[in-house]
Amino acid sequence: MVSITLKTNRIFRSCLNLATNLKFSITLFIIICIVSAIGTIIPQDKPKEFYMNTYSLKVLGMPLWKIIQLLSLEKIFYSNFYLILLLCLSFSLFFCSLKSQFPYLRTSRIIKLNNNNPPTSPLHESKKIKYNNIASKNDSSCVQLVSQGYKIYTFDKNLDKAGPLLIHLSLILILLGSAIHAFNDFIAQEMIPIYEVSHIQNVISSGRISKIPQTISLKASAFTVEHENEKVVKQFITNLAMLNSKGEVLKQGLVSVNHPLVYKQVYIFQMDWKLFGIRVNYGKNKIYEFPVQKIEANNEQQWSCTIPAKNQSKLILIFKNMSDEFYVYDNNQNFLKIGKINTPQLIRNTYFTVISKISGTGLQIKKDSSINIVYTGFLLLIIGLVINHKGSKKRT
Amino acid sequence: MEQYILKLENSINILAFLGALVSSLFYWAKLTYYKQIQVFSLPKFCLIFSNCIIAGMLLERCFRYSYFPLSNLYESLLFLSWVLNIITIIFVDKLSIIGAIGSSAVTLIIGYANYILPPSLRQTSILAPALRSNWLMMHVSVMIFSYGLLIMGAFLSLIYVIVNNNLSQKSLNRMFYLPSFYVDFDKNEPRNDIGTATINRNKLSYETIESLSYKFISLGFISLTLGIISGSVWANEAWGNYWSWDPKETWALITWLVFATYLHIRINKKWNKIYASLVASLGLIVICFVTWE
Repeated sequence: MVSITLKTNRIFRSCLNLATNLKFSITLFIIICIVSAIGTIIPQDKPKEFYMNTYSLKVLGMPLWKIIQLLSLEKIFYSNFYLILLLCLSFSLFFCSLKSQFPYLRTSRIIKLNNNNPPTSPLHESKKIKYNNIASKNDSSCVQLVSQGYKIYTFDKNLDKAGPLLIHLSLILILLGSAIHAFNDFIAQEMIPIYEVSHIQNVISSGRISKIPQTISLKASAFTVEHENEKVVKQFITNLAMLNSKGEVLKQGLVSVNHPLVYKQVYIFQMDWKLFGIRVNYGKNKIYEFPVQKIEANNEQQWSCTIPAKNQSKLILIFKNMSDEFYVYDNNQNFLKIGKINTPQLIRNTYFTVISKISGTGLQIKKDSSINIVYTGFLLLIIGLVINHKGSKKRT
Repeated sequence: MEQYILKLENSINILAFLGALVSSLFYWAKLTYYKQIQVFSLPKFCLIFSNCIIAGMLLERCFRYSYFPLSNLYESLLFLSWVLNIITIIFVDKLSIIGAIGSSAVTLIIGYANYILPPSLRQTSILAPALRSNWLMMHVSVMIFSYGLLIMGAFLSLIYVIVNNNLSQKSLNRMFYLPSFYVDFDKNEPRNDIGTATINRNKLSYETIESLSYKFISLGFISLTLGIISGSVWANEAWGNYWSWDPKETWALITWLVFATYLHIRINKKWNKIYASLVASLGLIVICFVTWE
């Protein structure tokens, strides 16, 4: 029994030694660099056919794409191998802080001097000697001497040595935060028509223990596009409300690009927009909704909508961007006229009014339970680097 | 009107380019032929002149399009050359070789931006809504600033590696024929610190090169960290993901790791500084790759 614990202890110790070895961590750095570089050279997250076409070259009697798939190089940053590398890095950081940096910080703060030597000469004289000795050894500005009875302590006032410790701790925090994020959170994308209620359904990615809230629903009550000029879009803004299962408003606010809406670790981002359809009034309160189709043309977003007209004919309406104007064509693609929303039109004996457009807003919904940890890590990293830099300046 | 401004821009660019070229020629000449100190330094004047022109061009673009002028590759390269230029002006009196490196780097970058880069990349594109963020501005400017510092530091390290003949045959053998990280480096190898070794004029200048390189890289490392952090804060605000492993992010991480390795080797007093400098020279290749991409 004892021998087993001794053995495990020895294994543990040798692991600890390896983890705190500088050469080991430098090797780790370099391996991570090389693996990441491979990850940028091979395009990531593409369909299987892409790899079969691009990497059809044969190496050692095996096509290259098979090797790529075998080593999971096509999603290298999410592979177990990369996870293990990052784990090794965190362990190395953690044990290095624990084993060498933390004790170093403590010893640098309090150095006990003259512990068990009773003074042979009168007290004040011995103190004087000690002071002189220490003053000649250290830069007097950053060392404080304290005498307690016959003992003299010195306090290192500058906390320069806290720099590396802080850097390592902050890196551990960042890695921990992103690990929690990867396990606990989800990302979803929804295209929500205005005035309609939508649930979180289209989940893009989710962690292994993440829960998607089923009781929350989203309702967009307005969507506007701000323009810089004719063609340039400045900002997309959605007026969004989060509802619970009873339909009560939990949170309401504006969502725009770079300005997400936050409710209890759930972040909602403005991503995209879309035209779903139009409402047309044919007179006498006969209101119909027609779907639109997107056309890609000249870097402009255009939508076309076919509406019925009299005598079995059809009219095609083209909407460009978000403007209130639309272009009317007939079946044979002849241009007829430019119309405007909410103004009655009389075209080919058909009397109609386009009342409104039904637009939808594209939102990205993300739960992030560890963003505070990551941001704290960022802050500490910067503080640690600055302290470290100041310290290294003093040493040289 | 637009064409007229472009033509004017081109002719002003030539002046900036010529200024940097003349100063680099003079600095190289100064390094090899004559070393006396001059009161009025022509090459420095040329550098300051070209610096003012680049700054003026960036400011002009800023006012003309009324936004922060770092939206495309051309403007980023101009800003990078400006950063390198100002570092050169500040530190050239400390070490004359900085003048030679800095001014030639500036010449190369301005030349590349103006004459090799296709003109379509020089036009300012209209910013998408996601790119209108203060975090992004901070990210881009701090990143380029850090690249300037790191390029300078890594160049100095490369020169230290080339010039310093302390690299004995024995250590050469070790570096190239054995996995060097598992070999204990010779701890008794004479270290040429200014304090311990006999003060030799040449050695002193080697050590100045090395220590300046360390200073540049440690400052550049801090700003690189700040740049990466502000970039990921921006990404988190724009689409809710602070790290998505796209090639640009990954290469920034690789640069960060390489220079972290440099700093770890450099602060370890048991190891020869030449290994740290070798890592920094590797970092130079990485940075060149990153900026070119």
